[in-house]
Amino acid sequence: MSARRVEQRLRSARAPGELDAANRSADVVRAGFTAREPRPAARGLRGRITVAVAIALLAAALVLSPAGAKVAHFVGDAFDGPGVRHAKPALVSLPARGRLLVDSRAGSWIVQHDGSKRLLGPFHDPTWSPHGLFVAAVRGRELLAIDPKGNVRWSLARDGAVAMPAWSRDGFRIAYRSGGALRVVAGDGTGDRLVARRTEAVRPAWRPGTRHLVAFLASQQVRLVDADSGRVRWSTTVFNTGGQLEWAPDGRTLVVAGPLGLRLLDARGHVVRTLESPPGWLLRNIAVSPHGDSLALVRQEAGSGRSEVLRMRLGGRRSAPQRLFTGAGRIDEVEWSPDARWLLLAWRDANQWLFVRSSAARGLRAYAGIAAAFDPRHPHAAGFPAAAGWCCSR
Amino acid sequence: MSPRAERALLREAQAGSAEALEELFRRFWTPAYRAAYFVVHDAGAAEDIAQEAFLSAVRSLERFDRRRPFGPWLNRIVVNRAIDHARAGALRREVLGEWEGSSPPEPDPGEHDELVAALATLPPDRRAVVVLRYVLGYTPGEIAKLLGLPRGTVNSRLRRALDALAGALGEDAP
Repeated sequence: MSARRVEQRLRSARAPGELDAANRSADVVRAGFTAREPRPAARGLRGRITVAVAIALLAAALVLSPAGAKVAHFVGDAFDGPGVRHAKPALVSLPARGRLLVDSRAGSWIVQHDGSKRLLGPFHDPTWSPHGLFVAAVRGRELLAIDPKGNVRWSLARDGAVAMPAWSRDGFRIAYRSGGALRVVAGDGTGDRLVARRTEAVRPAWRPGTRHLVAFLASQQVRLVDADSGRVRWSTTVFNTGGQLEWAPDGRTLVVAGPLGLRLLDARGHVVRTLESPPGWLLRNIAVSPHGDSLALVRQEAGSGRSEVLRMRLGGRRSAPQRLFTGAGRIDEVEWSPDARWLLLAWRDANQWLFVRSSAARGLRAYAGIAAAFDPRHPHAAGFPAAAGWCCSR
Repeated sequence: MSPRAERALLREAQAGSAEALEELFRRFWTPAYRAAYFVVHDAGAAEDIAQEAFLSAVRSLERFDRRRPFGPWLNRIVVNRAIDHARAGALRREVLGEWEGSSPPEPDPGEHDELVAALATLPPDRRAVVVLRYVLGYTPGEIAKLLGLPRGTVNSRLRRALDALAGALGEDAP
C-alpha cells in the first residue's frame, strides 16, 4: 500500500461521533476559558521578560513554601472550571418521581419532584425510612426521627457522638453508631441496645428480606449480626476497607466498597468477586440500583483529578463496565432514581447536579448553583451538599 | 488560515475573547479528536484526550508564544497523551483482568474503513507517526521534533507501519 494511498484514505476517514464529542467538549472548554483570569497583555519585550520572571518566581514560591502545595492546587482549580457550561442556573425539577434527601451545612432538606424543597431543620446525616414516611437524622449527640414536615417524633441522647443511622427494611429498627460502637433502637425510639463495641466508621447495612440482620465493619471484618439476639451469623475478613456497605434488594449480595476497590459477598459472607481500582484511581461512591441488577460507581484519578461514573452488572453474565460520564474534578455521590432510569451525580467541584440516563439512552440534565440553593451563606464548592437518598416513586 | 491570522486569533484569545476561543476550537478540535481516535481507537478515550489537551491549552494560553504555530503545539499534547493512553490500556488489561477503566474498545458502529481498523493493530508508537504524517500532514523532521525522536527513528517507524498495514490488508508493500 503506497504512502499516498494511506494518506488519501486516512485524510478522508472520520472518527465516530465527531459532532457530539465536539459539542460536549466545547462546553467544557468554554467553562475552562471562562474560569481563567486573563492577564493584561505585557507591553513589549521588557514587559514579557518581566512577566516571565514574575511567573518563575511565583512558581518557585509555590514549590518551595510549605503552603505552596495548597496555593498551587487553588490556582489550578481557578483555571480548570469543571462543569456543564449550559447548566440551568437553578434546580427546576427532578427528572423522575420521588423525593430527594439532602444534607447541607444548614441542615437536612427534602426536595420534591417539582423542585420545591423544605428544610427539615438543623439535622445532619439523614436517611429515609423504608417508605419515606420518616427521616432518621443526627443532631450533635442525639438520634432523631423526623416527619417530612420537620416535626421531631422522638429523640434519643447518647454520651458519644451519634452518626450514620440506617433504617431497617421493615421500619422497626434503626442501627446507628455512637462513639465507635454500633447500637440499635426500635423504630419508635425505644429499646436502645449495644450491638458491637468497636466498629469502623462505615454506615451499617440491613440485609433485605430478613428479620433484623445488619452488616457492619469491625477490625477489618465484615460481620452480619442478628440485631435482636446479638448473635454473629458470619464474619469475613476484608482488607483495605472503609467506605460503604450496600445490599442488593434481594438480600443475596453485599457490596463492600473502599477506595482501592470492592468485593461482592454472597448471603453467607463468601467473597464471590473482587474488583480492584486501576492504578492511580480511587473509588469514591457506589450505589446499587433499585432493581438490583446494576451497580453505579464513581471513581477519581488521583493525577488528573478527573472523575468517571461507571455502571456494571451485578450477577448474571459478566461484562465490562459501561462508562456513563466523565468530567474534571470531584464527583461525590451517585444516587439512583426510584425507577432506576436516572442517576444523580453530585459534582462538587462544578457545584452542579447532573442527572444522567442510567441506560445507553442519551440524556443529561445539569443544574448549577447547588451549594447556594441549600445554604446561601456558603454558595461555593465548600458548601456543596451531600445527596442522601432518592426515595419512593409513590 | 495564514500564520498571521492565527497569531491575531491567539492574541485575541489571550486577551479574553470568547469568539476567538470558539474559532480556535472550531479549527483545531476535530483534527485533534480524529488524531487521538486513530491512535487509541476508542471514541470515549479520544474525546477525553482531545478535551484535556484543549483544556491544557486554555490554561497555558497566556504563556503561549504566538510566534509558534498553535496546531503542532496542541497536536503534540494530543498525540503524546494518546500514546500514553494506548500503552497504559494494554497494561491495564493485564493487571485488572475483567475490570477495565472503561468499556473495551469495540468497533464503533459506522466504522467501515479497513485501513483504520488495520491501523489499530499497530503498536501505539507506530500509529502515532502514521497519524502525524498522513492525517495531520507533518514532515518526518517535524514529527521528530514533536515526539523528541531522531529523524531516522521516525522514518523507520513509518516504513514498518506501511509494511504492516499493507500486510494487514493483504496488499503488496510499497
